[in-house]
Formats: sequence, C-alpha cells, structure tokens
Amino acid sequence: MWRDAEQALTLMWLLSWISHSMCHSSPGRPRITRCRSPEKETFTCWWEPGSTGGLPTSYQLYYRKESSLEVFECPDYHKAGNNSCYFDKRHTSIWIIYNITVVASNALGKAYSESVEVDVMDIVQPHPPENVNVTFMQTTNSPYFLVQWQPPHDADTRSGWVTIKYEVRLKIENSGNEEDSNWESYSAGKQLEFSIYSPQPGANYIVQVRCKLDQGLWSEWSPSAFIQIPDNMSDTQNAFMIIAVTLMVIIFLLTAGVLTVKMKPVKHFFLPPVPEPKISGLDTQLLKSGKAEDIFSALITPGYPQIAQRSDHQVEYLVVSDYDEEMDFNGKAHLEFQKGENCLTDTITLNSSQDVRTTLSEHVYSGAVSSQLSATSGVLGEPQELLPLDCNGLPVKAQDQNTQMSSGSKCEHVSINPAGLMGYVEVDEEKRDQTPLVGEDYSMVTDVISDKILVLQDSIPKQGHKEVKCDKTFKAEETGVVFEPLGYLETLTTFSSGS
Amino acid sequence: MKKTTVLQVCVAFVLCSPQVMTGSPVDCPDQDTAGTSCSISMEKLLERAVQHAELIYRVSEESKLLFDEMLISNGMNLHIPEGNMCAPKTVPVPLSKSEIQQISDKWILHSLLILAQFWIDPLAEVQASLENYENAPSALLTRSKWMSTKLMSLEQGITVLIRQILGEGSLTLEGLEETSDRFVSSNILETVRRDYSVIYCFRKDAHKMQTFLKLLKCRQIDKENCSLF
Repeated sequence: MWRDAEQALTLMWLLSWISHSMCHSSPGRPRITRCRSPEKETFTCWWEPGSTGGLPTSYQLYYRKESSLEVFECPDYHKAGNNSCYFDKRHTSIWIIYNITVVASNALGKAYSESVEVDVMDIVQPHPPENVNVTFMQTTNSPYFLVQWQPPHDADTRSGWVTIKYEVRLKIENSGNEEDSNWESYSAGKQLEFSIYSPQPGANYIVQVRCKLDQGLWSEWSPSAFIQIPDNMSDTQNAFMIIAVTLMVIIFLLTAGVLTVKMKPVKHFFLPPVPEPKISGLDTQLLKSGKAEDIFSALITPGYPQIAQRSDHQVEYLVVSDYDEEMDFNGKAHLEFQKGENCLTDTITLNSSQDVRTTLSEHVYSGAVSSQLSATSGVLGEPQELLPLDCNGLPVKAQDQNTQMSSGSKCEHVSINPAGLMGYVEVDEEKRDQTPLVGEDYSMVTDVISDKILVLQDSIPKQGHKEVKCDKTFKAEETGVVFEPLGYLETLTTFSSGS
Repeated sequence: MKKTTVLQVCVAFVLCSPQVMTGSPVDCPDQDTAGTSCSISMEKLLERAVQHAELIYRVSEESKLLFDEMLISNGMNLHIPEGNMCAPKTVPVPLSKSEIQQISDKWILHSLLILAQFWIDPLAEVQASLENYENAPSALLTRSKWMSTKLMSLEQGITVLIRQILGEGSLTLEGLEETSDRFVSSNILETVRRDYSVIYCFRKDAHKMQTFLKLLKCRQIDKENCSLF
C-alpha cells in the first residue's frame, strides 16, 4: 500500500510535468468579447486571447459576408488597440451580417474562436458626450446650475442619420457619510444643455452625461464634472427675508394703531361724509327728547328773524288789525294816530270796491300812504289819502260800509308810512283764491310766521319796522325792535263786520 | 492502481491536449434558425433602405437649395436644364394608379438598382468639381460628399434586397457607363450648369427611389391593405 501510494504520486508528478512540458502547444481558443459601432458607419471588434501555449501567437480575424463563402481579413488591426479589428466606412455595410472568426496561430497549430454574427445596426454604442461642463447661475431668487456638453465628434446628428438622446445624472459628494448617496438621473432629450434647479447650498455635486443613438446601447458615462454650490446664498436670502417680513409687520401694526386711534378723521379723510341739512339753532337732539317749545325756542330767538339794532332808523310800521282785537303798537309811529279807545286810525282807505287787492306794489313805488285797511267789504285798491278822522274814527267822508273801524276796539290803529316801500297783503278769508301778493308775485314771500303773517322781501332795503302783533291778549309792548330791512307784513283776516 | 493510473493519464491528456475545434452552430443575431449563415431579415432591410432613401432625398433637397443660393449670390441665374442629365429614358415613371398596381416587385427592384447605379458617378464628379469652386459653401460640399457615400451604400442595400427577394445574383448594368464621360470643360459657366443639373435631376430621382422603396416595403410587409398609392 505504501508502495502503491508512492507509485501513484510519482506517476502523478510525472504526468503533470509531462503535461507542462508538453503544453507548448497550439494556442488556446481566443474569444471575441464584443463588437461596437460608434456611429453606424464603422465598427470594431475586440477579442481576448486564450492560452498562448507558451509560444508566440498571432491572431487574425476573418470575416465572411452573409452567405457568401469569400473570406476577408480584417482591414485594420491597429487603430483600435490590441486584439482588435477596426472596420472603416468602406468595409462596413448595414445591409449584411458579418460572420467573424478570430484565429490564434503559433508554431504548433491554430485555434479558432467561435464565430460571431454581427449586424452593424445592432451593435451601435456611441462614444460618451464631450466637453461636459457645469456652471452655477445665481441670477434671481431661483438659482440653478447649468450642465452643457457636446455630442460625440463622430456621430452624424446633423443629417438625421442617427437620432441622439442624452441622459444626465448627478449626485452629491459625501466624503464622510457611511452610505453612498444615490445618483439622480434626468433625461435630456436632444438638447445640449440642462438646468438643475434648487441646488443644495454648500454641496459638492458630481455630474455625468451619456448618450444613445436610435435604439442602440447607452454610451459610457462621460468624465465627471464637479461643482461647488456657494454657502452664503441661503444666508443672504434668509436675512433679506427676515428683515423684509419684520418691516412689514411693524408697518402693519403702526397702521392698525393709527387707524384705531384716529378712526374718525381717517374715515372722514377717505370717505367724506355727506353734509346733512341743518337748521341753525335747531338741535336735533332736542327733537328726540325735548319738547316742542324748547325746539322752536331756539328758532324763535329774540334775534329772529335777524333783527339788527338800528336805532337810527325810523321805525315805521303799519298796523292793520282786527277790530275786535287789541293791537299792540309801539315804536315810533310815523303816523298820525290817535289814541283813544275808539279812535280809528286814519289809515282808512276808502274804497267801495269789494275786492281784495294787492296794493303793495303801488305803495312801494309811490311812497305814499300804504296803509290800508281792509274793510270787510273789500280792500281799497287805491291809495287814499288820509282822511281826517274824528275821534270816532270815522272819516269824514268815509262811507260806512267801507270803513273798517270798530269803535269798540281798543286797538289803536296806527298807520305806518314807511318810505313807501312797504306793502302788505290782506287776505280775505272769504276770498282766498286771489293772489294777495305784491304784483301777483308770490316769490316775494320769504317766510311765513303764522297763519297771519307773511314775510315779504323787497328789493329795496328799507327801514326797519316793527313787528306788530295783534291779538286779543294784547298787553305787552315790544319796544324798539327794529327790523332788518325786510318787508314785513301782517296779514289779517278780516272779519265781517258782524264778527 | 491501474484504474488510478488510467484516470491520471486521462486527466493529464485532458489538461494538455489541444482543444478540438468543434463546429459549433452559428448563432444568428436575431433569428432562431441556426443555419450556417444568417442574414438580416427582410423587414429590417426594407426599413433601413427606406430610411436611407428618405435621408438621401432630404439632403439632395438641401443641396439644391444651397446651390441656388450660391448662384444667386454670384449673380447667375440658371434655368431648369432641358433634361439631358435628367434621364427619363432609363426609368419610365408610372403615372397612374392602375399602372402602379401593375408593376411588379421585380420591376421596382430593377428600377431602383438602375437609378442608384446611374447616379453614383455623376455625384462623385460633382463633388470633385464643387471643391474647385471659389466660394462654394462648406455645407454644400459636405452634403454632396455625404450623398455620394450614402448612395453607394443604398446601392449595396438594393443589391441585397434583390438577392433576398428575387434570389438573383448581383446585376450590373450594361450600356450606361460609357455615356458618362468625364465632363471637362474650361468654361466655368458650363461647369456650373452641369453641376447644377446633376443636383437638380438627382433630387428628382432620389424622390423616385424613395417612393419605390416605400411601395416595395408596403407590398412586402403589409400585403393586404397596401393602399399607399
């Protein structure tokens, strides 16, 4: 057994030595590793040699075109490097399939590789894009970086012979991280540049591009391009943002404060209020709460209607009164008046007319006596001269029916002769339809005080006159109140003699 | 012991002996049939041929436009030449739809081959002549070179198609090569006129070739509803 083992070992050693020494032999089979066409116009095939068999070995590549039996040899062994064969344009055809074989030969024999069928259109893989560069663009608030490249120089993209597509990938270079960050890939179509927005500030990017022709294989990734994103980009932006926001908040608060404090003036400034009608002296508050007298007391002020103290003016006024009533008179009466209980003024105008007529205009301009008394039967339309009156008040020539003297009256009838500018109107209550106004002009009326008093306005300012009130409860005297030049009239309703 | 010895010897021989070349069956790139030789499928061939012809036609159009611009910028005004280079006699053009339906694949292929082979030499001459111009645009030069290259390639393709579809050997034309003598003229105007007529007429024929190939492709691939024309 020991001898057997020894023999076996010796034999084995012998045989192995023999095999070694005997394998100076024909070469091993080479193998075609790959064939590539970078632009569909040429192609190259590479092979790897098998064992050399210890002897210098040479390699040849032979090819056949499709089904023909003619064998050609590789046109160029050197252009593409060792163990390669380059087929130039003349030898490349896209219409046929190449049957390629590599033969290794040495002194002891030949070895044939496996044949490979090559269709040029199927082995298209372009060279990677060239001149890849990256620039950082910090234009506005959206910074980005721009990747640019060139197509591989041998690809004929201009004529449309090939259609090229690109792909960009990038990743952040992390020097200290345990895990590798992943590549992000973007398809770029046919363009020669690509923008990447919102880069991470302070990061280091690696960018690569590759391309593909038609439906072929992707090329290798181009050499990396690096870019460093500046760090202060976000800081300045953040600072600006913070300052801007703070300012806005402050301004807003100030505006709010101002508005709350000065709401009304600001509101009035922007939305001026519509003026409401106002009567001076009339307090709207009183309307709500007060009593009627209070309200109108303000209106009926002692100064109403705008009496000016003019003592130099002669106060002339005309009193026309109801016989039944006692009248109030005072002031200087530029009149002949007779006191007495039953006196009548001489302001009786006699007329036989039955009409109530306005005589103001005539008196205004004539300056004559304007006093008139309306008789119950009418108003005398013409100025009448003053007739002397006797104590009874009856004019000498007066006709009874026209006179309007009440002997029983306590009124003293005073005729007022202003400079002839005053007129008055009496309205016969029986005959209201007639226009009782000066010259048939109702526009002269400026105010109505009571149902007995119409205030007319003359164009000519005149002496003030006094308001005369005539009522039954006549007692008070109003003194020295001078009217503004405002025509003042007192209308009376006359009563029939029977009243 | 003998068994082991035999085994060892066998192992040794296996290690050492040269590889026996085995006739492994050829693997066709895209065909299942493992024949001794493969060929590209007809669909692919036709597709590539049509693409070729389309590109050639497009580039010939661009060339003609460039030539026109060059003439205009040089002040020359060439009219359409009276058809000495536009050779209608070689390939009669079918005019009506019924005529088109009557022509056979064989006729199409032969016409294509005739056209392609006819134009290879004139294009090469024009390309050489354009390089002698004073201010020919470089785009025109590159395009004319490209056209002559691709036309040769297309001719190869048509030959392959004929071999596949018709099963014939390669054809060579007789009787057409002698007409295209080297046209040498010292007259610049004549040279320009000839070059322009070559480009002009080639453009027409390129369109013809493209149309024929499209028709052929339609017939071969989509046999039933080929209502292209």
